[in-house]
Amino acid sequence: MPDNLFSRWMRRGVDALVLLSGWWMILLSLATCFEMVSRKLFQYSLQGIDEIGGYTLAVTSAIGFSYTLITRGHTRIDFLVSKLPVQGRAFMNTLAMVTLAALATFAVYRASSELSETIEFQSTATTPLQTPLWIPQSLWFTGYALFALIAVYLAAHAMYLLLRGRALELNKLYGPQTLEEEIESEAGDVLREAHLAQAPEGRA
Amino acid sequence: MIGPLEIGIGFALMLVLMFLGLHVATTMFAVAMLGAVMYLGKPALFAFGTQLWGATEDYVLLSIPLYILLGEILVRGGATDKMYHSLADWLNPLPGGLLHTNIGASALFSAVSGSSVATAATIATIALPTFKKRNYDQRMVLGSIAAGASLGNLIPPGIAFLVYGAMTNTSAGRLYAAGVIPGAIMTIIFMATIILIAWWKPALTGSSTREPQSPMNEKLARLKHLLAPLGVFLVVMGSIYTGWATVTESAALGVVCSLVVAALYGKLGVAMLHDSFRATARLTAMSMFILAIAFYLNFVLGLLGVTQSLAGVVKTLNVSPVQLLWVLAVFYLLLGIFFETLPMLVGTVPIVFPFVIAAGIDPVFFGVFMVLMCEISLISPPVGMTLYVIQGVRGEGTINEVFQGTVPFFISMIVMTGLLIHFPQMALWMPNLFFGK
Repeated sequence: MPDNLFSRWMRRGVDALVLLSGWWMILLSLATCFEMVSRKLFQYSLQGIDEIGGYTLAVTSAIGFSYTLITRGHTRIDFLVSKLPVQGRAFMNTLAMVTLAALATFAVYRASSELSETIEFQSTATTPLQTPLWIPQSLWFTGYALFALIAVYLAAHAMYLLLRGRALELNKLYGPQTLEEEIESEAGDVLREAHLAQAPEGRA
Repeated sequence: MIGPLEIGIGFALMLVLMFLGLHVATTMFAVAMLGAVMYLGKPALFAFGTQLWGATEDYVLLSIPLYILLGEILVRGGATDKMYHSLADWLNPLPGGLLHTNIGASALFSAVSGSSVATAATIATIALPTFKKRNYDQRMVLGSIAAGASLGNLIPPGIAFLVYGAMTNTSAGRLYAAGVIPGAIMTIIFMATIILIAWWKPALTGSSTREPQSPMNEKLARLKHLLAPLGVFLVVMGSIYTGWATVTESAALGVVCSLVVAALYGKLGVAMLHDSFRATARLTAMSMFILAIAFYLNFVLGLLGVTQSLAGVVKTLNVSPVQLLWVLAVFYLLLGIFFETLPMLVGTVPIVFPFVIAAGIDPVFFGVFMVLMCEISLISPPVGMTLYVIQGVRGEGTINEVFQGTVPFFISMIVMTGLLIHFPQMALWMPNLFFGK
């Protein structure tokens, strides 16, 4: 992402949503365990945890799409791309961002029609909870809308950089993650923690 | 119904687009869209939204983020270093000494953690300094860590089984039961490989280093550090096999257990949880994005009659299941050179699965076969994330040493593939025992 106010806001917003999703999953896990115990011991079953769990996956993964996009985690096979010269890499990186933005836009377009049909027919889930489906689907749609918004913004920025001939900057921002970056984003904090724990032992 | 030629072209197109470096999800969607537009028309194309909602609104698949979360919490909240040294107490007497601990610790840790990258990073960070003062061949040290970390998917609970199960409508519980024995055999083969090398070329396995033996009471006292990962593993798998919990419920139980472990080690905190949440969101979204698009591709392929078309091809080819499996093994070995686990699994299953079923191969057995193929792709150079992670942690020497170190384990995995193909009972015995035929 370019370094500007919009990007910072997006980063902060998406990060907050990710943390919220995490806490929600902890809560859901606790509720699931509570339900299991009460079902086994007291034959009393909380209805609908499984249903809420299903919505949880739909909503949290839609939110996660944006987070993974910002942290450049969506999977690409970079074996050949990494062998191209700088200009060729810049072109392929731009193409990847533009096609991803197109996919995200089409997804949000179809998600919006799914949601509007749900609202029009006032669909409810065929479960004991009879959840009005517009509630989880609006959250889900919001996740996709955010994803498409960011994807289009990044694709536009990549195109701008390509046209201005700023290939190096483009590859740095939109190329597949370098090794160090990927290790950092998947296990950076774990490694720092482990090194800290090792330090006293190493001196002894 | 479309013919085998069109299917082949579509599949080839998808692979070409992937190699061009487009996002894996984009390439799968491009092929699905092409099929829908050319043969089916607007309704199939516009069903995309409904498919996206249907694919991700799924309670069974919720186990994916939960297993990832449990692993991420355990990586940050457990005492991995103490676990490693406790395991070393017991495995050091074997020829090859500490190398066995690398296999054991990585296997144990990656079994409970959804991320082989995090496992490789964690174990490498602990193991590499330990080896500094000892006389082992660096390549063997690196190879054994990589081999161990790749075991994680085969030993349940792994994400790859869940993804395969979701795509092929195969029970995750059965797949998990099926993974246990092959996972154990694979671990034993890895250890046997180290012992063989220790006999054949003692210099490679630190023969000049005699590991000091701790007194038995100290060893027993340190055993408690193995309890955390083992306990979580037993609770998660035990609750599934006894029928107490569904796969998703067991994952939720595992998350709560991992919180307890982190609290016991005094590492539970908001910052640590937030790091776990971020890592979980990232890995989950990476998987779910590809998976959601794969469901749509599957939907289009179903409408196009690909399953029937490929079944017809299998009938005319007249191959035996064993022959087909060997052909697939070679295909996946080649693909694994370039591909990581998830794209390989999700990108090929929609096409390969109908073939396999038509040839009369058991879907549960094939799940184990597929996951073994994914494991091999994890350690086959030059594209294998865990190899680079280990090199990154090491911070000296060249990546070629890591590549060389994986060679003996790569060969062991091919031996394992042969065993699995010729003795499918090793995968099918447990699920039939627990869940009936």
